[in-house]
Amino acid sequence: MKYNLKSLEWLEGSIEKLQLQSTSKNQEEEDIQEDAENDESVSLLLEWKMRISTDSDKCTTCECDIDFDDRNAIVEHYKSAWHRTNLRRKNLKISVMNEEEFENYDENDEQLLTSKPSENESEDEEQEIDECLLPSGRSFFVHNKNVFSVSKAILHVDEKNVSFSTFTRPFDCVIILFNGGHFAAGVFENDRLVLHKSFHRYVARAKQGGVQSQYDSSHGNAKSAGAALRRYNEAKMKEEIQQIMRSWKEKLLKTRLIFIRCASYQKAVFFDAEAGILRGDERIRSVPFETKRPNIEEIHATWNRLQWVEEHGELNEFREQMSALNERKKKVQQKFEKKARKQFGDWDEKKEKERKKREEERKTDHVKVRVVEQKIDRWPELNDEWRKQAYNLIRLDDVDGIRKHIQTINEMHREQVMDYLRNARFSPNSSTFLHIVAAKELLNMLKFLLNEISCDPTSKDETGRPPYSLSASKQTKNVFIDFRVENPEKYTWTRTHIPEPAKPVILSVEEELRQSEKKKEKKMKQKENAKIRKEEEKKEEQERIERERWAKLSEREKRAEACERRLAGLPPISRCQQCGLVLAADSPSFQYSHFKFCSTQCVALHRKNNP
Amino acid sequence: MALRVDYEGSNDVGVFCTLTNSYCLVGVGGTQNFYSILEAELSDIIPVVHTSIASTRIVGRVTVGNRRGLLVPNSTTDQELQHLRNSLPDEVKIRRVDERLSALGNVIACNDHVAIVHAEISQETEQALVEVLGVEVFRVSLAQNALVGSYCALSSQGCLVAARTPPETQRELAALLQIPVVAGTVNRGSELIGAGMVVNDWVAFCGLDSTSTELSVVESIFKLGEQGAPTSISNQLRDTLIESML
Amino acid sequence: MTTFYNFKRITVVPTAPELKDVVLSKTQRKTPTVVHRQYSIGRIRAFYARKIKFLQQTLHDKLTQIITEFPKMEEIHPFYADLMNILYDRDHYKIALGQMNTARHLIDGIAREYVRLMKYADSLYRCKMLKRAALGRMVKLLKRQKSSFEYLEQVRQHLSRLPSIDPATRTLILCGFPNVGKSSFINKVTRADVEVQPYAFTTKALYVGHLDYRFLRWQVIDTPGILDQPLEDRNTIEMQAVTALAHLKAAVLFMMDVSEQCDRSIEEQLHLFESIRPLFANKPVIIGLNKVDIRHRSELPAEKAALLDQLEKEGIPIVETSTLTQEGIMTLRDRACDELLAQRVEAKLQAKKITTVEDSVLNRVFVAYPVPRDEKVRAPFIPAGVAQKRAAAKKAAAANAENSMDVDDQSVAAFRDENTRRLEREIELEMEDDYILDLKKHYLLKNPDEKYDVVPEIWEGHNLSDFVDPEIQQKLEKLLKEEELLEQAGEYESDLDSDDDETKEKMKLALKIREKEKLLTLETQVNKRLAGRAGSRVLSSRKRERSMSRLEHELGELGVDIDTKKMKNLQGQCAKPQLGKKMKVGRSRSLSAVRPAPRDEIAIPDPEARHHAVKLRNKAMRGLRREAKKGEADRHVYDLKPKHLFCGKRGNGKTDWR
Repeated sequence: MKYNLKSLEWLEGSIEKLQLQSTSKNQEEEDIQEDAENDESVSLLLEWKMRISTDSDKCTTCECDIDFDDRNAIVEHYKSAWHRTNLRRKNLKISVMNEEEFENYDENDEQLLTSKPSENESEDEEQEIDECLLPSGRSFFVHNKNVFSVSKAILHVDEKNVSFSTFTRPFDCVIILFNGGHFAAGVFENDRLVLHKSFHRYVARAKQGGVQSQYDSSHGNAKSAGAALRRYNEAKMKEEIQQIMRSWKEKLLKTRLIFIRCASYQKAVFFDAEAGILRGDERIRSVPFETKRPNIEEIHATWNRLQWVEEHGELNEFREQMSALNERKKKVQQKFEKKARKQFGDWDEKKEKERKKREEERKTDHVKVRVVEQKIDRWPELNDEWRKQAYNLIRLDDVDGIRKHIQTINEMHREQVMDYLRNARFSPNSSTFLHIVAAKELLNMLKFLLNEISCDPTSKDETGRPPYSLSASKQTKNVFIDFRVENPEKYTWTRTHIPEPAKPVILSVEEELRQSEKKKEKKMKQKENAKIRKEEEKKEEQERIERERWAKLSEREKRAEACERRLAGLPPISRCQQCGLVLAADSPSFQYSHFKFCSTQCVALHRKNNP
Repeated sequence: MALRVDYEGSNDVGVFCTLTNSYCLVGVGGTQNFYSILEAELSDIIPVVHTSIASTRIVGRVTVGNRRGLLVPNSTTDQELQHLRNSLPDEVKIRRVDERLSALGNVIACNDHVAIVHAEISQETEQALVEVLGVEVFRVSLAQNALVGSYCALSSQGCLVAARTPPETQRELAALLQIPVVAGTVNRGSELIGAGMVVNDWVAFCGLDSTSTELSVVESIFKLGEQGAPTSISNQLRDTLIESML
Repeated sequence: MTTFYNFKRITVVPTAPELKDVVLSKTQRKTPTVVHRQYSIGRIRAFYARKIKFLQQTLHDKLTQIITEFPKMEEIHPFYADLMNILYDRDHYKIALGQMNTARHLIDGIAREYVRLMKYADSLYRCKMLKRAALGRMVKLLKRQKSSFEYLEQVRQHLSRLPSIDPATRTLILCGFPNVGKSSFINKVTRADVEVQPYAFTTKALYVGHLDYRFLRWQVIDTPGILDQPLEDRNTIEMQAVTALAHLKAAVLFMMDVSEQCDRSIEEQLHLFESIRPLFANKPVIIGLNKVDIRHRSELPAEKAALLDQLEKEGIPIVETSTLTQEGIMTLRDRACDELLAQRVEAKLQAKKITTVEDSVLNRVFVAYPVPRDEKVRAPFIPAGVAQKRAAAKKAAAANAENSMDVDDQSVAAFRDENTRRLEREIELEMEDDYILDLKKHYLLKNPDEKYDVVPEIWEGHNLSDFVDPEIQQKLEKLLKEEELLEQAGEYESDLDSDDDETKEKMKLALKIREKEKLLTLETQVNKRLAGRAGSRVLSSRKRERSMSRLEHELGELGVDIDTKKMKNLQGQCAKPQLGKKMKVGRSRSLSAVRPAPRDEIAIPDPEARHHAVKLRNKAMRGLRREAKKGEADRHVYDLKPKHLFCGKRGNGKTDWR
């Protein structure tokens, strides 16, 4: 569940930081170091002298003062158990103790030092949550015993954690999105978008991958017109952006957060704008999630998304999860320690013993005491004979028989009978009666079982199939389908794999008319086609006859015919000399002397015949 | 006087050789060059013994001793022990110690009066040190380095520790050991002093790569040469050191 | 630093005619030479264009090399820049290099132009003329640059001979009037060997010598003498000295001649000192009063002495030296070095950041001293032998005394004479291959005879010698011999010759088995012979081969009763009875199922049409077969005249027979 920063719930209850056990000591030390580096006014030699002055006699491991002049004191200290313990602790990189701590500590077991620090932690009572297990970009807090988290980006510069004020104040910021030629920026004040501007220029060619300047810097200046255009556009865009920034300078100086999303090589545009955003400015953040094309809607969406608060469940559960994570981490560490130990032969007696014990315990883990299940007979009243008989009757599709058979059992135990008929399972596939009946196509029995015994058609056998899938024939399937139609509410039909019955198509009157018309048309067309075909065939027959006749004519007769045609005023038909095929005007014709032929084969034949 | 030597091409003289005021142990190597240099310098005065420990040549790092005695690790074979016993004069007591941190040369640095040891050696070994070598034992860690034997070289007249040791630790050590302590390097900037050189009360041997400046520091802190006192370090050598380091 | 090494590595600048010859002959050798009229015009054009481009490229590369290798005055240390300015005149130098650059540019232009023109040449003659023109023009350009080439060669030669002065390390500069003794001083202090003559301006250039002091290396620069003139009047030689003084951060040793043998009085020398004093700002200055063996400082008249004293009061130390007697030279050197070193160290300390200095440097300089507060004396233990040895060594060193200035040298050679013990190394070298390291020879034992005794080896409580039997080999051999004898004696013969019933039965059975085997082999041989005849397969024998009854019969003969009826599973494995049909020749029975017809018969059932199809196919394949191609898709075009075998010049012989 995602909450918003603005939801009113935060106002009730308290916002507390998540209890973590990290030492704040490290932080302080770091601060001191930083200060020291920055402070160059301390003269080098003076500082040096301070370090080595006689006022600073001390034991560097225990960090206690000893008078180096007194030999006995020195010897006493260095031989003491306190110093030795501190030495060991220092080597293991744990904090060293001063005298009092040591005295209190010494009463506890000294074993802790011989074991590694990770085991040390596990013996603590409090559940320690390793801070580094928490994701770093989010800040966690507890409210009404539930753990929530908020993106760290919305915290102001000086704040380290979420506090009550985070929720009460308006989320004011400046959001700038600049990517691939599209620019959008907006200033939010008092939770309202006060200023905004967005525009677009053509700076990236569609297949290019980046803006023109990026291409230029890697490939050298491209010389095409388009490239020049894009370059010009980029420069102009930069100018415009800078202008906009300058005009918003007041707001920029006032605002507490600036979110910028743009490519790293474009960031200089904002710094050079002299508009109140400086290079090392700490208010600048990057948007912690992905954004789409820069426009005003996107700015609104980004603003909303930044305020999301994520829920992580109840505090104790969360702690448990974290400690489980911790455990896993430790296990992994131990595994690797073991490996390293094996390789490098680090040997410690106590640890060996402990380890062995642990291993032995684990060895017997897999040996579990298995509880033998007692076989309970679900249907005590139905003896074996009865069951056999029932099975046979069902197999033989004897509906009346099975009815009578059921009657033989007492009224009181009728329930068991029904139960048996519904739920009994048979090998090999642990199929129920219904499966068997469906597979064997015993239609009457099927109807009987479905309707009177109300067997469950969703039950599945070992192969995972319901009885419908096992049905052998269409009729069996129809029985199922009818059953479904009759009882639409009884079972979830999808599970049974029984499909819906095919709906009878109810046509309206018009539709029927149209359909009949269509049919008529079709028929007519068919008839016509048949007619045409017949005619064509006839024509061809005639042609053929003609051809043959003509081919048989002698030369003279052919010529005579041609003459006649001419005289009759009919257009001349040229025919192939050999086979008599009519030569069309545009088809290629082969000829020698005055003979024309339709194909080379005819030519060859003719020549052969008339040498 | 500080001399430059090498053991078969390696600058780490302290690995292959243990040098005390009454004897010197050298690892058995391929050729006799190194041995002969030591022989020429020392054999008139003290016995120079060829040996191996657990069939290895790194006698410098696994054994430790002073003029009264010698401690060897438990991996030393009986033959080697017998060999050592035969070769060393009777005044020198030899004992084999059973210690988890068995590279004794790396964990213990000692002279004739005092020894500084790794923080975690066993009581038994400490006892052996007191009995066999007759020294006062202190457990120390040199800055972040627990292996005291590798990072410092110790003689009765002075002590040289690794260059990174802060001055507070130096003062502490000086107070414990009652000898002057200086931080420096050998073998052209190597931090491993104990492995890079061996020293006794009148002579020191460093690796061939050591610069003249380093040698002069060595000579002055251990009072081996003409310069005598360690004061020359802060006076005459200071400028040279700074000039060459920056 | 890095730049001055390049001065020695500049390649030789050829003179203009040399360059012309080289480049033209290269063009002729490295480009193709043969072209004929009848080649295609494109080829002719390419041929000539190639020559033009080749020449252009060569010249371009050569000139680029010259331009880049000569140092740019802006990029080198100002000391060298100034020095070069004095010696070679910056303007002239820049102009020469600039002219090289221009020439290169022009050559590129010429080549481009003529290559472009080549496109319009339509005959061999025209192309050739164009090429001639192009090459001629390019080479003429070179001729015009003749003087630049010569000048640059001179510069290069001189540059390579400049002394390698590192402007950043510790340096001492000697300056003063000519003939005061600067070169003598450098000769004494370093290993340099500068010419010393009684006339002035013996030294005409800068010389560098190196000395070692306090484990560090120092440069000493000897300059030509400076006369007391205003800057503008100074000549080249003097300017070199002045440049050195101006640019190098070094200690200045101003040498003065007390005896005034250099023909200048002390006042004049001091006047010079004052005039060049501004150059000494921020440098430690020491005045060396040379030639004191001739006249001592105390012998000076009062005024002169007063002047000197005044200088001293101003804080400039004066050291009296004599290069002849070597008095005071070391003092002067030490003093100058110390001051310079102190100044440098301070500057470095101030410049660097706090943390780095602290950790690395001051650490090393700080010595921690213990405060002795214990009665215990922890004395060093130095055996007596050491002192003796050192004394002996010193005597020997004194006996072979060498006059060495290097007091810092630390290695004192080990002193050896006949009494010292022979080193292992020497033994090793003598014995070479025979050498064995004998560890036992130096054992210190009560009874030296026991040195080479064997030490018992014990492992895990067992003495290894118990387990080692040195005679084991002999025992083994004895045993082997015995075994041989036994074998020969027949110990190991088979024991089947015994007479009990079991073995007899076994033997009988074995005989039976062998008999049966022989019979079976005979049978099979007979069968084979019969079966070899064509067509006479004896069916019945096949039937007999494997059947239940046969099995029963045979095993019964052997004495094993079986009931085949109970062996149902064997029934199936018997040979099935064969039917009475005769087998067809040529086809085995198992293939009696109808084979489908071949596919081309199915495709074209009509034999005529099939025949026709075959003809068509063959016609199509005819061409492919002739060309030895696999099929239509095999379209490889073999390269009949590969270029790499047909181009290029012949090593020897003619090109006709390719």
